[in-house]
Amino acid sequence: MRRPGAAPATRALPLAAAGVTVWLCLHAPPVQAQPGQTSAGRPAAAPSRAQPADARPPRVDVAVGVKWDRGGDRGTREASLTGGGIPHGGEVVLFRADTRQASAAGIAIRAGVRVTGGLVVEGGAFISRPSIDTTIRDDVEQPEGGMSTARLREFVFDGGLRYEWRPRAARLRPFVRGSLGYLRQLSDDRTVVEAGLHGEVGGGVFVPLVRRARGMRAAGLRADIMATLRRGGFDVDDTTPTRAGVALGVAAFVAF
Amino acid sequence: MTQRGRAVLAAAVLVGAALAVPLEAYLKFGLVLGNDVRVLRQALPVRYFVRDLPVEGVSVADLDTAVSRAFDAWAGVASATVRAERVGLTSASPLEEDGITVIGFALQPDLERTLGATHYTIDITTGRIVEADIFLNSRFDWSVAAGGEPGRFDVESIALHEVGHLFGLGHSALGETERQGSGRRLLAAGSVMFPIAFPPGSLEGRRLRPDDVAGISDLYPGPRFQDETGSVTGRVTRNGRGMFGAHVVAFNLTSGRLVGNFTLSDDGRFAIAGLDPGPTVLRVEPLDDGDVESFLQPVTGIETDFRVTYSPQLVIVPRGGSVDGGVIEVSR
Ligand SMILES: [Zn+2]
Repeated sequence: MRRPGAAPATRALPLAAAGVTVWLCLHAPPVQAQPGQTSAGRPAAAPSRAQPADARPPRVDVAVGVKWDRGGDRGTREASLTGGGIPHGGEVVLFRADTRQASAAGIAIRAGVRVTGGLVVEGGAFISRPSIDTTIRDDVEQPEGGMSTARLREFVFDGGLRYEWRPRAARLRPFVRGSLGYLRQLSDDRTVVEAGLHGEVGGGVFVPLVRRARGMRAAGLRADIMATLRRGGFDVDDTTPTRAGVALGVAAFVAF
Repeated sequence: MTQRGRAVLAAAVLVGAALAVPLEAYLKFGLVLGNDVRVLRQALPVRYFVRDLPVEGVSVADLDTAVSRAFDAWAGVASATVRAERVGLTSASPLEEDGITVIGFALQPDLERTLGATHYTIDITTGRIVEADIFLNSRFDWSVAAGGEPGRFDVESIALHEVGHLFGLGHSALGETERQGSGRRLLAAGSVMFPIAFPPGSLEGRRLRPDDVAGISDLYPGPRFQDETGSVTGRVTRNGRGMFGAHVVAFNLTSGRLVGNFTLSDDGRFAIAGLDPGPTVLRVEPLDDGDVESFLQPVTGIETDFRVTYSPQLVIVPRGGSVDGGVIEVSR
């Protein structure tokens, strides 16, 4: 006979005893009885009494995963000579160079501390190796143009707020968040450093897959989608100082 | 015993650079002394006289002012230390070897395409520049008009180019030309030190470009030049073999500045100094916008039958340092 609320605990215990990590749990997500939900052969759970630990949101959560930044335009420059007009010749374009930061995936780490209710103070770091690619066009002597590429090392350290909901009828925990941080880009040989600001506004969802194992309150997956704003870094056109972009993230989280 | 050699080194239009020995990071003149190659560099300040010979449309005072402005333009380069001092007027010709530096008009009717030229007299035992005369060829029509005059070459513009030679700069290849009869017509230039002048009536030769600034600063570096600029080195090859005499241009994507140089060794090595820090595109092109001998000596073995090629590597030039631009392979 199964008692309401017993399923998560009994499912988690053997895993914990066997020393199985959260990552393995992600490959075999447990089926959980949710409040008000009835699975075949199972009675509906009674959440308020059966899962007292889950009724309170976690105080601290940490997520480690992968983030993909779409990159984007970093400006266009014309290489110009001076023409032979009289008395002034004006500019004659030798070639044009379009520069963009290529999309890149990197390692993202985020940690949050609940302040009150659904409000969480969150900070994070992102490390990636994007390239900046310059495409040459309109060369006066060579119509095929060319491409020049440099590999960068990019670091973002940011902080901000997250607000999350805990809908009664769903096990997912959606959230919205915003952050502002320090952008640091280095040339591959680390001799040149460009700093800037990096902001993100977006949302996402926590998908708890394991509850109350090895002292943690929950573990599972976290997915983020963000609109990004960036100023500084390697950017060749200072007339457009703020660049918009998109980033996606998926991470494994643990909450305590 | 002191031996003296005299050589015509450069001119505004298609005059050979007989002693142009490529050195270091910008094309400068050099002097071979035994096994030693010495960069030709003036003792500062350069003391010069202005010839008291007017031509139609240009008085001696006009010439004096224009030459002074040309020297001031070079001396105004903040990252360089060049200075000059006008001694006075002289009746001496800039074609004479007399131990004084003279700048002025002289008639050279046989030099049909030479607007002006700089002659050095060098003590070849010590490498000391004894004098460096500049003549402006009075077979052409000249002007000092503030707005330029159609059909007349601007004195200040040509003087600016020649004074660059006087300080020791060679020619830059940063320009585009097309053939016109037996000569070449300038389409555009990115350097005062390009060997083909802007057309009569143009005032564009009065303004130094980043390429000129890099060159003079490399030769006479100011105290902060090395710290505030960077350099790039690399090789240009064809079928894996180094190429001498390819023109390499560095284009800073942030500042938009162009600075050029050449591959100056048989294994195709180049170095470009005085660059703004930041991401930089390298473009290699054949030396086909002027007579090869107006840029480099020796001229044999310089290949010009390859396509403009961009380095696959976007170099990020460090402030106060150098970056390896790798190998740029060119092909037909
Ligand atoms: Zn010249």
